[in-house]
Amino acid sequence: MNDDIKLEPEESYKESTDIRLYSGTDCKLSEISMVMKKKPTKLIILAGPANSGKTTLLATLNDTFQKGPLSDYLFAGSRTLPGFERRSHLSRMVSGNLESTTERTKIVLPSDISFLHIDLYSVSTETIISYLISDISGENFKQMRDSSEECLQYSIIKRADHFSLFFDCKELVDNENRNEAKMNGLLLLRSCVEAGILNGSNFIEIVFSKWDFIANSEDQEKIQHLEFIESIKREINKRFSQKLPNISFINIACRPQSEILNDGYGLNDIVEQWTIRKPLIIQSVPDLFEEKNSRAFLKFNFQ
Amino acid sequence: MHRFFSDWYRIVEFNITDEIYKKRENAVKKIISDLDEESLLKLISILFGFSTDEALYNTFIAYFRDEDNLFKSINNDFEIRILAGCVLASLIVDGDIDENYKDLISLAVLTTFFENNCRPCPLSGFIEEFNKYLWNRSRELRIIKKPEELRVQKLEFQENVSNNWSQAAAQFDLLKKSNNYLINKINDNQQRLIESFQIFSEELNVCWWIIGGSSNLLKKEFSKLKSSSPEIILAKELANFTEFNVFPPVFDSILRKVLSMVGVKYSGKQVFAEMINNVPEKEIFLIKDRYIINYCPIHYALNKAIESDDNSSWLAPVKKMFNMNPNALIECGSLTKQFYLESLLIKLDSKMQG
Repeated sequence: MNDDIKLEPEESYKESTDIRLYSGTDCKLSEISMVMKKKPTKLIILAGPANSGKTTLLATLNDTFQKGPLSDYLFAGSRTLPGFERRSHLSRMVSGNLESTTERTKIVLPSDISFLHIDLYSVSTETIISYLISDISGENFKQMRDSSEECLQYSIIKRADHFSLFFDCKELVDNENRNEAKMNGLLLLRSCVEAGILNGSNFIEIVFSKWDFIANSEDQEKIQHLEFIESIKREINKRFSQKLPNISFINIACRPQSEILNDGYGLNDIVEQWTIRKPLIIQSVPDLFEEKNSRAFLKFNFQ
Repeated sequence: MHRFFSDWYRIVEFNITDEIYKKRENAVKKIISDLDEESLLKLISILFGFSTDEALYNTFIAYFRDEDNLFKSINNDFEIRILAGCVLASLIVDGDIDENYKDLISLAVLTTFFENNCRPCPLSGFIEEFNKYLWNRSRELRIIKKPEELRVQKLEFQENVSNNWSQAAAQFDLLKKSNNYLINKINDNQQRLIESFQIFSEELNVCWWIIGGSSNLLKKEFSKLKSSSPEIILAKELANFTEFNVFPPVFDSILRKVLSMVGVKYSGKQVFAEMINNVPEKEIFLIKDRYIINYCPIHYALNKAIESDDNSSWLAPVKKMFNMNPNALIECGSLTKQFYLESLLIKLDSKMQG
């Protein structure tokens, strides 16, 4: 007998029971490679001030897919269903509130950002697309907005395929707050671009959430609001379109407070946008010929 | 290792450490030095996630497991695809193999990718890299090199050279070297001239083809081309003109021009399956039933369509082979480009096979 081995039955039992079970709640940064290594995955970051509708979008996405397909897409599984359910829970409770509510995203360290996972099946292309979606809390958003150095901590954004920046239309229709709301979004974009974490390889979606506030307004006011939103779009294009060529604008109203818009208005637009694949960049005119080229046939290239 | 390795690997592993980077790098280097050209070509199937030679797949994984005991063996299919892409990209950048093989691999990656929406592809980074390689290669090959100046070393014979045998031998060596230098230069210049003539000839042929406005293969004017698949005929003819891989200058403009001449809109779309079914049997040229067509979706589909009795039984094998949707809409311009590239790949393969 080997005397070195003294394994008590209880200890061995303890060791054998030390199994970590996957909770099904949000994936941490250290866990997302589990999903990413298995199949092609799109990483989506939702950013915006507190109460701008980021978590509501996730909850509505969950609710919508429980009811059926969303345009071309069917729900094809999720490793974080309890995480989705937790976000939907508050809105489903019969609480007597006039408005549906959603759990607020907690402030976390950049390294503790968590993700929700969802697989969608595209009927037209007959493929499954995996998504990892994270919403950055309003407080984290503030820190990022105020400093490029803080932005640098969020290096995950560099890897993100899509960066969806939320502008809250409830704020944009309020004459007192709308300029601040506009500047907050612009400042965040500027900080991210200056820090180099957003660049031409990211798709940027500017999401005007709670669009029902615009749709419900009176005709004269509505024109003013739409003009203001157009001014935001112009400013974003003017300032950032060179460094961020893939910018698109989407209007959504996940839980509209009137009957003018349907529940989940614009949701299919944003899901459609998330499925866009990076366009292939064809190297058309290599530098090689710019100086040496004296041949007419090759000069056609430059036309 | 390829300069973009860490960026590509970050697609599957966000927290990449120096240690992991080194391990993967070593495995990639070993694969490049150990595997033969044919096996390296087969890595394209792994890159695109198609069914492949199981033994090769296991060998491929074994290289990474030898370097890293913690390398996962299940549920990491996409990681393995990315690594296969890294091996191929590193190979064309600094692999010590014949340039023709590099061309063949790059062309095969592009044709297998089949640009344009038949299936979503998260590997655009790799595709751009191979595309860039081929563009640069195509242009490098087309540079018309000026003849090199012939400089003969001046020989200074001494007066008493005949009396001094050692000096005479040295002078003789010098004379021989100069002679060899001259012969080499003349051969080199001759080669340059031949290449220049070939380049001009190819470009003139393309020019006359466009100006002449008639199909060489069908012996008909473009405007009277009643073929149901002018894209395929035109791509085939253009590939026949191309002596230097790949892409003639103004490639896209040429395609647009000739497609408009046959009345096809470059950006017009049609269903891939319908297009294949419409190709008249007598117009199918050079369909090779060789392994290389495993990298050529259109040739493969045409091959299967000829073998099958009806218009739909070929869809399933093509769908399975290339993981694509044959009922997807495809741009006419992209289809022509794809068939052109496939024709070049087959041409290059035939050339290499002798």
